[in-house]
Amino acid sequence: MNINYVLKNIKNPDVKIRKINNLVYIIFIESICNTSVINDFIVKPIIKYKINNMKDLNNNIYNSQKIKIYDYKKFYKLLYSGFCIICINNKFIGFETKGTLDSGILVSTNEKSIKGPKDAFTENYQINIGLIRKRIRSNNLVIKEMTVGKDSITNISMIYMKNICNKNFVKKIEKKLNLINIDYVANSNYISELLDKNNNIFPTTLSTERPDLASFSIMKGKIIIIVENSPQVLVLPTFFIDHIKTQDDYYQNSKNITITRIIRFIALILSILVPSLYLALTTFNQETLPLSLLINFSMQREGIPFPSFIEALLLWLIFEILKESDTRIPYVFGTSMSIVGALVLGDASVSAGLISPIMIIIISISAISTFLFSDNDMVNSLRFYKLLFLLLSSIVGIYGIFISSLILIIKLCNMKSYDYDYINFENKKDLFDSLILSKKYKFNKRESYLTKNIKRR
Amino acid sequence: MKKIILLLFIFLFTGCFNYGELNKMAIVTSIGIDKVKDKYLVSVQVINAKKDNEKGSNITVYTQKGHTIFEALRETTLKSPKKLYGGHMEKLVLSKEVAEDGIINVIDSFERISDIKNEFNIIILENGKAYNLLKILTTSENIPAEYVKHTIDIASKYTSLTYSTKLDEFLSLYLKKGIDPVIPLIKVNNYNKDGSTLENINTSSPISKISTIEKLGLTKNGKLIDYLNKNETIGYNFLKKGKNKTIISLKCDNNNYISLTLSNKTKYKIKKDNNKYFVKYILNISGTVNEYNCDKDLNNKKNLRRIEKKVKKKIDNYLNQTINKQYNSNSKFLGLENIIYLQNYKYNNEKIIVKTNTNVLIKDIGQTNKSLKGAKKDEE
Repeated sequence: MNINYVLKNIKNPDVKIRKINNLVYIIFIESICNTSVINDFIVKPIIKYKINNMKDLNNNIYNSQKIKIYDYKKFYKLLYSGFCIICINNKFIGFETKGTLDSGILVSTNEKSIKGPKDAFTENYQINIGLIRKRIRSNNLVIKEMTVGKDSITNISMIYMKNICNKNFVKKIEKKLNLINIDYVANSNYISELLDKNNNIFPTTLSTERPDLASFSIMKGKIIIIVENSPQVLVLPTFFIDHIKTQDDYYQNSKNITITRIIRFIALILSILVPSLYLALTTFNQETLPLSLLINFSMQREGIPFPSFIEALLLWLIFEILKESDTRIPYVFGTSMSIVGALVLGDASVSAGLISPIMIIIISISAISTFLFSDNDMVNSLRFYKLLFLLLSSIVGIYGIFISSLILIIKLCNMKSYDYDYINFENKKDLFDSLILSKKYKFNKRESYLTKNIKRR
Repeated sequence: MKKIILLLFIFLFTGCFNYGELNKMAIVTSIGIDKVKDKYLVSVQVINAKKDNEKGSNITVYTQKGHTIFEALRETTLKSPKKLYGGHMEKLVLSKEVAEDGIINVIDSFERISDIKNEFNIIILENGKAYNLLKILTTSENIPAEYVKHTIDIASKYTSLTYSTKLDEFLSLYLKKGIDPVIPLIKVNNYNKDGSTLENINTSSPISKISTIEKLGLTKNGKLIDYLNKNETIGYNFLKKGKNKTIISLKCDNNNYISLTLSNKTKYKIKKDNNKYFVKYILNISGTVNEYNCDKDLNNKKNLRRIEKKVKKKIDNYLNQTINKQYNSNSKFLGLENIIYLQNYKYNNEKIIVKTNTNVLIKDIGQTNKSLKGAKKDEE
C-alpha cells in the first residue's frame, strides 16, 4: 500500500487529509467522524510525542478499536464507516472515531402503545442492537453480523436465541442473506423482499420499530434482522395472526384484551366485506333485505346518477387519495385538509346528489375498520382483497362474495411464510391462543410450530 | 391456463343472479285482484321512494286487465317507468268474487315466478273492490301493505280473532289430503269515501280505514265457500296445535265482568274404536287476570276455582261451536282426516268423533288481590 496512491485517488471534499510530516498522515471523513475525538485522542498525542513509528503509536493512542489495514478494499470500508486512518511510513492503521448522526432514541410514532415501553428503534445500527441487548441479557443471544450491498456496504445483523430458534431455519436465512447481490440497501424492506421472493400479497415479515416487540419475537424463536440506517427492524417468519395482534395486548388485562381481539377480528371481516356485501345485497339479492331497509336504501339512492359499483369505487378512491395525502402532507396543512376531506367531499357530495349517504357510511365503516391494524403492509393487502370482493360482488352478487372468500381462504391456507404455514391449524392450542389471551402465569409454553424447545420455565 | 378456464366455469355456470339498481326498480308491496266480466283486473301497489321532505303519496297503484295474472302484470310495465320487483310482496288481496270463483286459479304465477317471494299474506276483501283497498293511504305505518300485514299478524298472535295465512302455507295445506286452508278477511270502513288522497292521512281519524274482521274464510278445493264467525274463530285457533293467546271476558257475578288473557298449549290423541275414530284434544290453558270488577277476594282459592270453571265452560262452548261447524261443513278446516292420516292409520272415510279435554289454571291475578270496589267495601 502506498500513501501517494491514496492521495491521488481521494478527491472528495469531505475527506480530510492531515499531513503531520513526510511520514505521518491522518485521513478521515469530516462528515461522519467525531472531530473532537480525532483532535483530542489522535492528533494531540501524535504531535505531542512526535510519533513516527508504529510502536510509539500503539503505546500512546487510546482507542477501543484498532484495525490494521493491508489492502485498499478494507481501507475504503473503514474510511467510509467513520474510522480515522493513520498512515505511518506507508503502513495503515484505523481507529474508531464515528460521530453520532441520528436523532437519538425517540418515541415510537407509527406503532402506538398505551401501557408498554415507548422507545423506538433509530437509524443507528449500534443503538438498535443495544436496545435488544438491554432487554435480553442472555448469553444465548446470538448476533451474526454481515455486510450487504456492493456500494452501500450496509451492516446487517441477524439476532436470535441459540437455544430456542430452529437451527435449520437460521442456516437457511443466513445462506440467503449471504447470497444477496445488490448495490444499495435503502431500507430494511429491501432485505425482506430479497429474502422472500414468493409474490405474496400478505406480508411474511413484520417490520417494526418497537424493540419490545422485536425482543418478544426473539424469545418466541423468531429471527430479527437489523439493517443499518433503517429504524424498522425485520421480524421473520411472521404469520397471519402476528399482523393482527399488537404488542400492547400483552401489557393489559388478558380477559379484556380477548374482547379487543374479537373486535379486531370483526373489524377485519368488516373492512373486507361491508362494501361488497352492500353492493351484492342492493343490486342483486334485494330479497334478502327487510322491506323497510330496502325502502330506506332505495330512498337514498333516488336520483343518484351513477351505478352503485361506480359510486363505491369512486368514494373508495377518494378515501384512498385522502389517506395518502394525509400521510404525505406537512403538519401545518393538516387542518385545511380535514376541512376539505370531511366537509367538501363528504357533506357537499351528498347534498349535491352525487353520492348517497349510505354509501358514505359503508365506505367509512370499511375504512375505519382498517385503522385497527398498525401494520401498513397488512392494511394494504386487505385493501387488495376488498377490491377483489367489490369487483366480484358487482358482477355476480352474493355468489361473487362466496367465490372471493374462497379465493382468500385458499390463498391464506396455501401460503407459506418461509418454511412455515401462514395459518397454522396443526396445533389447536396455538390457534386458540391466537384469539384468547391467557393469563401470564399460564404462559409456560412457546408456539410449537416455531421451536422444539417449547418449555418456558 | 387451467386455473383461468376453471374460474371461467365458475362464472358461466350460474344463473341465479339478476342485476338491478335500487333506484331503477319499483318495489311491489301488494297486488289486488278483482274480476271484471271474464277478465281479471290486477292492481299493483308500488312504493314511491321519496326523500323525507318531499310531499306526495308514498305509494302508486297501477291497474291492468288480463286473462291471466301474469299477462296483466307484464302489461303493467306499459304504465310504470321502472321495472316491477316482486321480491318484497307483502299481501295478495282477493275480492270476494275472485275468492268464490277459485283462489287457486290466480295464485299459480306467484308460485311459478322465482322473482316473487312466496311468503306473502293471502287476504280476502269482504266489501268492494281490491283496487280501492290498495289505493288507501294509512297512518302510523308509512307503507299500507305493512299496515295490513302487521294488523293481521298481531291480531292473530295476541287475540286469536283471526289467522294469518301465507301463500306457502296455503298451498301446502291445499295440496295435502284431508285438510283445507283458512283465509283471513279484511274490510274497508267507509267504503264509499276515497282514501287515496293525502287528506286521509293528514287527520287523526282517517275516514277510510282498513280493519281486520273477526271471521275466517273456509275453502274447499281452493274456493271460498263459507265463513267461521267470531266464536268459531276463537275455537279454531284453540284447536290448532301449538301455542295461542286470546282474551276472554265473562260475568263473575250478576252485573260485573272479569277479563283474562289466556294462553294455551294444545295436543291431541287419536283412538280407533268400533270403526270410529276418536280425536281427543287436550288443552292446557293458563290465564292471567287483567281486569276484575267483582267484590270477592281473588286470593281465596275457592273464588279462583269458580272463575276457572266459568272460563272452562265458556271455552268449551267455543270449541263445541267450532266442532259442530266442522261436522256440518264441506271444508275440512280442522284437518281431522289429515291428523289421522299422519298417525299412519289407514283412513277409509270412517266416522270421526271429536272430544275435548280442557284444563284451565289461573296462574297470575295481577298486582292486586281484590277489585277496587271490593277493597273499598272491606275498608268500610
